[in-house]
Amino acid sequence: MILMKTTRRLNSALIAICLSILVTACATGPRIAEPGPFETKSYTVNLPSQWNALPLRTDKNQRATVLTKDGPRLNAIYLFSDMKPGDALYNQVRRDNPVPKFALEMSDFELIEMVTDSLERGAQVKSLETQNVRPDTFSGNDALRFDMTGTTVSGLDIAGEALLAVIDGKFNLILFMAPAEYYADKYRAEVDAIFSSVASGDLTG
Amino acid sequence: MKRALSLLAVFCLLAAPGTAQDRPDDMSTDEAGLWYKMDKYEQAIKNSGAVISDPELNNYVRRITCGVTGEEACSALRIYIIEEPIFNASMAPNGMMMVYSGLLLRAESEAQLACVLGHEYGHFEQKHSLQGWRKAKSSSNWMIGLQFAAALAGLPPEMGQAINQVGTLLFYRFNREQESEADQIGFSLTAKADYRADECAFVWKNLIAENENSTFRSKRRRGKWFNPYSTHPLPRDRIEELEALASSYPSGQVMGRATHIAAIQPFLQSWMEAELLARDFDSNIYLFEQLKLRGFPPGMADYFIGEAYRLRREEGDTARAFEMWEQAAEAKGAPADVHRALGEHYRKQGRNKAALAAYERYLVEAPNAEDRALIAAYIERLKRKIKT
Amino acid sequence: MRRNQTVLLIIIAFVLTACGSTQTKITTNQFTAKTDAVTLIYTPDVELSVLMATGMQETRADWSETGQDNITVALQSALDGRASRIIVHDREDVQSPRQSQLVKLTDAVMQTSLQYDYRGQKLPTHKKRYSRSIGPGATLLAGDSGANYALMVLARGNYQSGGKVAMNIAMAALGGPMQFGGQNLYAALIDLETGDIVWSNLATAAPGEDMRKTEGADKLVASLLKDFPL
Repeated sequence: MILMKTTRRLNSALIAICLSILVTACATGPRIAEPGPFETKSYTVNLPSQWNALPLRTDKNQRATVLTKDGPRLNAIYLFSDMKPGDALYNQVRRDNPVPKFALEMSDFELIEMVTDSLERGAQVKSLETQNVRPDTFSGNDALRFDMTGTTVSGLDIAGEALLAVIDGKFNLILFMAPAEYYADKYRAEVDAIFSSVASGDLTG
Repeated sequence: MKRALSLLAVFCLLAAPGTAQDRPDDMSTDEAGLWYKMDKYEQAIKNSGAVISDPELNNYVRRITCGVTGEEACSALRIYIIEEPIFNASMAPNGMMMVYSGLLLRAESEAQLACVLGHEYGHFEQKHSLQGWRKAKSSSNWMIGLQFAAALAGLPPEMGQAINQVGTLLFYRFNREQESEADQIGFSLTAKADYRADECAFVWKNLIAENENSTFRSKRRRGKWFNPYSTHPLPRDRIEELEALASSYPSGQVMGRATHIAAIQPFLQSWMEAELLARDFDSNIYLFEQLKLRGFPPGMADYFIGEAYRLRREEGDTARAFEMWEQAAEAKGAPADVHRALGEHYRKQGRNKAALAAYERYLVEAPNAEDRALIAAYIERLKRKIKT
Repeated sequence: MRRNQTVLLIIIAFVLTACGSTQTKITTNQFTAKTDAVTLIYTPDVELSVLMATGMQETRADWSETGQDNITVALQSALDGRASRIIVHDREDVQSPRQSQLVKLTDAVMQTSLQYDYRGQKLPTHKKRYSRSIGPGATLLAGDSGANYALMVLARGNYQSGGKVAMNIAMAALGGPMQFGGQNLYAALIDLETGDIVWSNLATAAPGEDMRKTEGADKLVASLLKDFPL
């Protein structure tokens, strides 16, 4: 009797798991991002042409979006928005392999460090170097901008650019990554336009 | 007695000069298959962004390796140095050796490095990977029976996964014996190359001490508790075995502390940065303090101890970090970054003049810093504040 | 009734292994095949294994090397007369860091295409077109050869051991899970002027198309080169 109850409970648990897998499977498909404003939780970017949008599962409740033209390996604009203290850019898998987490008291360098450490540790980018770290603005707020170069595990050289800001205690980041050969420059003008289009999360913005 | 005999056998085996491991002639064997697969893997490693290509460092590691294995055997080995914060080296059945920066940073001397490289060579020479693969294959044969039983019982295919894990467990237990054998080979090769082989035990003592200082419970427990999944014997058992060897066999004379420090010093900063990425800050602090004691530039060590405190973010860490940076700034070998760290600290404290001076010193010491534009903006802002 | 089911399962198992298939894609970008073209054939990247009764796989160096040789020779003879000249180029032979980057980018583009054009969900902007490229830097892959095209081929697969075949039959009777093994070839032809992948194919070998034998490799390559533009 007890056994049967357990089995039934197990079954319903299994059904729940299957359902949740299905739901995520539906949500994780690529969808079209039409030209014009593309909204995240806390800011809007303006897309000059059609892109593909893929959801990216990050730390627990946090969801980020990847915009790509040809596939995330070839060109990717990661849009992280509305990240609260304690949120991370990627999931922690093991307890003894912690991920860098956003904290309110972080200085400019510590915010940049959170991004680069996450790329090195989470995305296994090798020989990662930042260049041209400079002040910028993010929907009218003080922001940081920098360029990056690095190498994937398979030795493909990549280039990137990042713009980040802490607004109302929330961390926001736009990150572009592409192979240095051909793809980093293929949509250069569009990527630049998207970076400079960062408007406020306000729908009228 | 039995152990002494087996040790003796290992020594006799090693009395003959080492010979290069030849490619298997029969291409249809499992051994040839392992070589083929590893050759492909090596090609990928070689072209990956992970390898440190610096010729001097490569020559240094090759010199130690060849000293241990003998020139002839060494000529067939390819060595790749990889920046990765792990205390390890590994050797594939096709003669590819991977040495991680975490090992080079932790070895105190040429002798200790020789012990580990000799140990890895022991695995290679005894074809342990091949034995392991064969063991995995044969130990998985009985799984067929279980899979049938599972099918008969109408169990889902996922059961196969669980069954596989049992097979893996057996495979790993087998590995523990191989580790002991490799330890013995590593010890005798180290001694034969005229290195102080009694240093081999210290490799493990240092590892235990570092793990005991770890932030993570799993690491602190390592070495104390029997873990059926661990690929290596208990470090304490290893130390005992190695100390027994050291007391019964003649050791070499060479330690090679100064040469080891000189060889890795140019990479110290980037390897310590890599260590911080693992975010085991308590173990980092312990290791960096050890490095200072071993004769590395105190300014460099203190700066990174401060960095570990800053990243750890525990109560009182801000003050601890500041203390280390202040100490580092006046000591030998501090990286320019320490002045940026101090500038940040003073600015947060509202000590504008001190912040300004620190930022300016940073730009003097690192004129091509990647964050020059940002620092320049800070300096301008501070100057305006000081004036008003 | 039970016996009929068993027979049916065995038949299904046989049919499953008997299926060979190809999936070709032709660029939707502007492309006209050159006459008197020179094509570089990169030595195929081949890895073949034996699928053991336990479900474990073991790489077979002999099969892999024979497969690589057979496919290279089969490609040469199949393309001879189509393109005016063929040069076999060792995959690992790269002259400059930039060439090495281009080869790695080709891998990344082919993997991306496999993931989004062949399997899984298509990227909406790529739904109605096949537009994959490594860019005009591709010219550098020609080196001094003056080549117009480069052909990249990747082969992965496994073959059931005798034990696995027996186990599958028994499993079919029990209605348990079965594994049959199989071999896939993935090829891309790059126009070295534009860098565009002008043609690609993902082929699954049929039973008569065993690349470990010369005739099998010839047949497999004939299937692989379906709709080949040169």
